[in-house]
Amino acid sequence: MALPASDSFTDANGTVLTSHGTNWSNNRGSLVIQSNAVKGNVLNDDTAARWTADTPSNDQVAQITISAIASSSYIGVAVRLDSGGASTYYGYYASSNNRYFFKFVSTTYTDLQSPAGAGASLNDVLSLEVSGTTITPKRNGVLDSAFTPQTDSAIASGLFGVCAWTNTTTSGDNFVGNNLGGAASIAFLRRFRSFNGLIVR
Amino acid sequence: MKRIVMSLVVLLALLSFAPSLVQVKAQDAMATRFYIVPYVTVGYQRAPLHFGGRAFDPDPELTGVRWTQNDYGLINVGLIMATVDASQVTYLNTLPDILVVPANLDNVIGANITAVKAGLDSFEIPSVSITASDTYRGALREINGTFAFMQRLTRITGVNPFDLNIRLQTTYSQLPQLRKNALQQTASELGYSTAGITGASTLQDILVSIGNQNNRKPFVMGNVTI
Repeated sequence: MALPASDSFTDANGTVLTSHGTNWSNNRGSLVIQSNAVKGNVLNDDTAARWTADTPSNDQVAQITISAIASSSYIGVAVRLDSGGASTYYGYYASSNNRYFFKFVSTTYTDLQSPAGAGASLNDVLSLEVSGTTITPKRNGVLDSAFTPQTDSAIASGLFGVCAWTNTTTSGDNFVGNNLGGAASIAFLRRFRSFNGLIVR
Repeated sequence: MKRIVMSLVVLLALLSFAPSLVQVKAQDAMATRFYIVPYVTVGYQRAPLHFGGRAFDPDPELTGVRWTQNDYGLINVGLIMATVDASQVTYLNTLPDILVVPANLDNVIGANITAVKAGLDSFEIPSVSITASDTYRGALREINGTFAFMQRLTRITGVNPFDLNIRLQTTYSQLPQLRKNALQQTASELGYSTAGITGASTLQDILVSIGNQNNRKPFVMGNVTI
């Protein structure tokens, strides 16, 4: 498929993400579709899945819109997810009471920076960009005010995708992944999403 | 009369500046400081001791402190840049299990060299290249080069080498072939030469060689270039 990649998660409730078409593979646990949006599918654990239909450049961006949100239940985006399925990626996710910016390397979770200490809101757009060794979390198109761009050398390549923590309320919709520099395309796709969840290209 | 008017003008001018003066003073009370801190793992999550994170709460004295980290790969140590107030600086200075980097990074290490080396050695961070004539900034740059290399290396191997009983004094010839391959791959990906590595080279020798090639390049933490 051609970039940008996109998914509005239109499917039956309870469909695991890897059964929603053929574009997704799990890196950690599993995610599931609920109310035409995606959320975690494992209680009190981290989950992540990568988009496998495209091979982006190492400098890439992933984006999702929060479609339901609650306390201590997280949805977000990941970049440079291990293409072989390991729990290795850079992540950024939010609940209504906190936001985290982190990395997984071979199943070890490390906060890249202190937790935000405050949550996100319904319809917030979370995106995570990686360029070289710089990873940047953005909320609603600008640098998340709780964080700064982070330098890290651990993960050099991989695929973009989604990540979550626990399997309760918080969900995301309108996922877009692209090579970095394709942000204009992401904005374009957001504006032209149709009612039935299809993306008009 | 003219003098009174002038006095009023000066007074009003001073009052108009007062809020910003107060604001500047409040901002000055917060400082950016650097610490080398062991990490603690809880389940699959880890966070810097005392500062906390997802894995556990910070010490009460450090609640709300903003920090960014630069880790030693999967080895449980990292450089923390924290924004702290005076009481938090005092608290952190009392902690026996972290290394406190002086506020002025451009100070020369000088007579503190023995303590600096001992501190780094306690975390198995190579210290042989750091000398009394170095500044703390130079030392941090050296450490950053080592940390960046180990971040990539442990991402490739997927393990903390110390967990496999590979120490800084382990020689290249003693490493399993997979680890040798990982070292070569890491150096290649990060643009370092491995030409000088022999079977007798220790892991510390290799990291020092990488550090020399890195030439203490400036690096960024948060919005600060070090």
